[in-house]
Formats: sequence, C-alpha cells, structure tokens
Amino acid sequence: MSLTGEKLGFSVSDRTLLENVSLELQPGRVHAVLGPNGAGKSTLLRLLSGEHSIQNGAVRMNSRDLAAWNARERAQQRAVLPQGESLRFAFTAQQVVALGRLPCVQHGLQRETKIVKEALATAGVTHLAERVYPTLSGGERARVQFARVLVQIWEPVALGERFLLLDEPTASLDLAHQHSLLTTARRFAAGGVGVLAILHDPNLALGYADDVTLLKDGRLLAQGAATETLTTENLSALYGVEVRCLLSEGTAWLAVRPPGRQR
Amino acid sequence: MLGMTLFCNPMPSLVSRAQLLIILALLTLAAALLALSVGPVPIIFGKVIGSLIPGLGTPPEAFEAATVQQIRAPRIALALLIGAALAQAGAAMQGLFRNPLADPGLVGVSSGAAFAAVAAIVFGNSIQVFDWLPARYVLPLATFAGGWLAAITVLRLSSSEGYTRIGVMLLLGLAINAIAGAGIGFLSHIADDIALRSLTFWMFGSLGKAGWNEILIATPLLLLPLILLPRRAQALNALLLGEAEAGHLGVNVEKLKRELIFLIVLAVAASVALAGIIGFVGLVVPHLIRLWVGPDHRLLLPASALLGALLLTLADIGSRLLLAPTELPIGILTALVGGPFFIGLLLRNKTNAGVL
Repeated sequence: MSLTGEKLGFSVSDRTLLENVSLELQPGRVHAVLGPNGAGKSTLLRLLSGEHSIQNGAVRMNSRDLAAWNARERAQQRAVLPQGESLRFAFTAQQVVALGRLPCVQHGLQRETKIVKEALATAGVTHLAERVYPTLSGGERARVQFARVLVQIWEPVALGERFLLLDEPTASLDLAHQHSLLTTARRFAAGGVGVLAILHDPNLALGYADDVTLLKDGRLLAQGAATETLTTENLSALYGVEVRCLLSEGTAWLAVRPPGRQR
Repeated sequence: MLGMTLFCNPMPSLVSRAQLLIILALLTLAAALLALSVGPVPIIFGKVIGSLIPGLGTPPEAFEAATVQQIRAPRIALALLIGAALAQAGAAMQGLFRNPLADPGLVGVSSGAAFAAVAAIVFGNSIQVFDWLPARYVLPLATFAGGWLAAITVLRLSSSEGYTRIGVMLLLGLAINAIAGAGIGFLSHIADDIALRSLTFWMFGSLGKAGWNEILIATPLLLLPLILLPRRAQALNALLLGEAEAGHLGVNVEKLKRELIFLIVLAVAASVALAGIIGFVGLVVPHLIRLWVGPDHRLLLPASALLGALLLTLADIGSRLLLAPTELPIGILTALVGGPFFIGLLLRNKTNAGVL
C-alpha cells in the first residue's frame, strides 16, 4: 500500500518536462524531492496528485490505478498543498481551514470544529483564526493553507493509507516556521501518513527526510535513503555549485562556498 | 482604512444565519405588500389582502380587486422571481470567475440574450425559419442560446490555467455589450414599428410587459437555478481556493463549471425573456451580502436571492412612483443606482489590489 509513480513521462508541446521517473512514497516516511528550478519537481507532484493526466507511465495509489478512484475517494486519501495560492475572497482563516474537511466523512459540528482548531494550533495560526485571509502576510497564508491540507487527512480512513503532497511548503516561511512545519510533517509520518515534500534546502532534507529523489532536467539524478543520496558529489552535480560537508557537534551540514569569494 | 471595510466580516453563528434569512424574507414580504398597495390608485392593505385571499381583510371594490390581481400581482411576482434569480446568478458567477466584479450584465450574458431575443422577434415573424418549432418556444430558446454563447465566449477567452484575467473578462464584456447593442439597434432599424417600440424594453428592462401566462411558463425556468445553485455552495467555496485546490478537495471542477454556466445562463436568459435587461442586481446584491456575512456560499446564495427579490420589489415601487402616472423602465433605475456603486467598487479596489 503506497503511492507510486512508475516510469513517468510528461511533455508539453514538444518540451519534455519529465522523463522516465519512478518514485515510491511509503506510508510512515518523509520523501523529499530536490532539484534546480525547472527540473520537473512540480510536474512530478502534479502527476502523483492526479492534477495532470498521465501521458507516459502509471500512478497507483493504495494498489489501485489513481484514475480508478473517484474524485472524492482520492481526496479522502491524499491532500495536496500546491505552490502559491489565489484566494481573494474574505473568508476567515478558520473558514479556509474548515474547507479542508469537505471530502471527509463528517462527524458533527463539535468534533469538526475541534479538528479545525487543533490543526490551527498545529500550524501555529490559532491567533489568526478570526482574521480575514487576504489580509494575512504571505507566510501566515502559507501556514493557514498547511492547516487546511492537514485537516483533510487528519484521521485514518478505511479506503487505504493517507498521503500528503507538499510543493515547496517552506518557501515563504521564516527559519523557525520551516522547522516547525517539517516537524509536523514528521509527526504525521509517524502517524502513518506518507509525506512527499519538494524542498530547496538540502539541510532540511537531511534533517527531516527518510528518502530523497534528486531531479535534474526532468530526469532522475539519484534516489535513495537521504543520508546516502545527499552527498556532496550528488549535490554539486545537481546544482552545479561546489558543495561541502561540514561536521558540527556530530551533525553533518551541507554548505556552499560563494563562487569568486575568498576569505 | 477605506479598503478595510471590504473585509469587515463578522462570522455569524448558526442562529444568526437563520435569523438573517428570516429577517430578509419578512422584509421582502412587507415590500411585496407595499408594492401591491401603492400606485396611481392607492389601495389600502386590508383591501390588498382581500383581493388576494377572498374572505380575509377588507372586501375590495371590483376595480380594486382587478388592479391587484391582474396588474400589480403579476409584476410583483416578476420582481420577486427575477430579483432573486439575477442576484443569485450574480453571486454564483462571481464564484465561478473567482472575482467579485463578475456580473451577468457586465460580461455580456444579458445583452447577448437580449440580442438573440430581438433577432428571434424580428426574423421569427418575417421569415418562417422555425416552422418546425412552436412559435412560443422560439423566443426563450433564442434568448438562452444568446446568453450561453456570450458566457462561454467570456469564460473561454478570459481564463487560462484556472486563473481568470479580470481585465480581459471586463473588456470582453464591453465588446459583447457593444456588439449586442449595435445588433439590437440595427435590427430595430430594419424592423417594423412593433419591433422598434420593443427596443427600449430590451435595452432597459421593464416589469410591465409580462402577464400571468408568461410568468407561469417562465417560473420553472427561474426556480430550477434558484433551487439547484445553493446545492453547489460548498463546491463553490472550494472553487474560490483555486481550480487545482478544488480538484484536490474532491470537486469535479469541469463538471461543476458546466453546471454553473448552464444554471446561471438559464436564470439570466429567462429573466431577459420576461423583462429585458435589468442590470447590476447581480453585482450589487451579492456584494452587500458579502460585506454583511462574508463569502460563504451556503449563506451567500440564499441571502442574495432574498435581498435581490427585496431590492427589485422596492425598485419597482420607485419606478412606478418617480414619474407617476408614467412609468420609468426599471432597468434605468437599477443602472442609475448600480453604475455609481460599481465605480465605487473599482475605486476601492485601487486601494486594495488584492481583489482585482
């Protein structure tokens, strides 16, 4: 029971965005996807979520073809946090989060409200609950959206394992909130959820991910356990910059020396 | 701080939600009774009641009963139905376009429907192209087709990748309104006197043309969207998050959009066929409701329907009293109020780029 993409390929008007990429997202694990801009990370996530229809290869969720689940069943098993958001209407933050419960089997008002409140607290936005969404800052909106996808897969469902797909979830967050979001993702993984996150910071991937996929020019550069895949050689090849590994108090840190700058 | 008033959004509890709808319904009922009572011949409330329900209230004179039953009641029924349908269609259209400035009138659906209606009148009478079709169905079908064509054109051309370009949407509406206006003008130029006289009716709207027969035929067409649109309230809420987001939440977005367009065009086309173009109801009413209770469609759609019915009934009273004994076309009145309101919205949006 997992979310798997097999030999996925995707192209738009003769431009190949993704070629022959396979990935298995297992329940209970955090899987990070890294790569330069335009490497096909978001395309991969959109194929796994069903937002793009499959051109080459196959996507299976919980042992069934993704297309074999209807829209609501799909939404009960996996939540997706896309990049950016475009809500212009004056919902309160709490109303936005409550929309995440739309596909779920409803429990009655009291229990539903409790779930929404707990998710607001988990995402650190309880104090924003009654604030109007479009007036929030970019980082605050991102955390509200995170709470919204959390409530969607808050509890186990009979249909199968749950999955959480996050497209650059840390992009607009400050340092502390980046770590608190990924800590939450780990906690959900511990509760049986398979988490996929597109990340740009290899140190976050090293700190929070079990598995890593490195994408470059739409192809797989390397894939495997985080500690074995996030090597200085792989990262230098991935980004074309010199990456070094520093050890500090027993923890490995990946660092980039600014090119052309001497100390 | 001017921009902030747009976001004044108290969250009503369940009780106050029901209260809001009940208050609106009672006000609408009161306005309808008032509208039945006032006019060139004032008729007291007791006699209005007596005319509607024999045995109750004060027994009316024969001419008073006839005035209420045959002249005033059909137009009030029309005001209630069309006001509700237009306001709710406007609210749904703003959800569909994910923009509070979308309005069936502004984006050209009403004028597309009106143009097709005028064309059906002019050509339907002179050339018998539709002899396989009963004549009384030609006008409603043409009206629906015209409105649908305008809606599809604007939606296709103004949105790409699930995002509506509001500038393109409004410019397309401008173009369609201009084309339809020119078309109506041209047709009335080549048409006979009878069609010529109906030009004002189609361009400015009036509640005085339709009688009980027309209303009975059109009522199901107006009730269908009024009943079915609120059932899509939660899907519309999800759609406001974005098309991709709604899809991830289990909404079949393409199907939802097709259904919404069908229901919106049905409401607008039926309104146009009965009363011509009555603009700005679909823009002003949902906006007022959103200011009051926020954008949740579960409350927005029914509350817009009630407030639309209330405001159009009041507008009808105004249109009959302002130039009494002659009548001001109600579309002129709604445009006089709605136009400045729209400019005010645009000005406020300048200080609050988020909504555009």
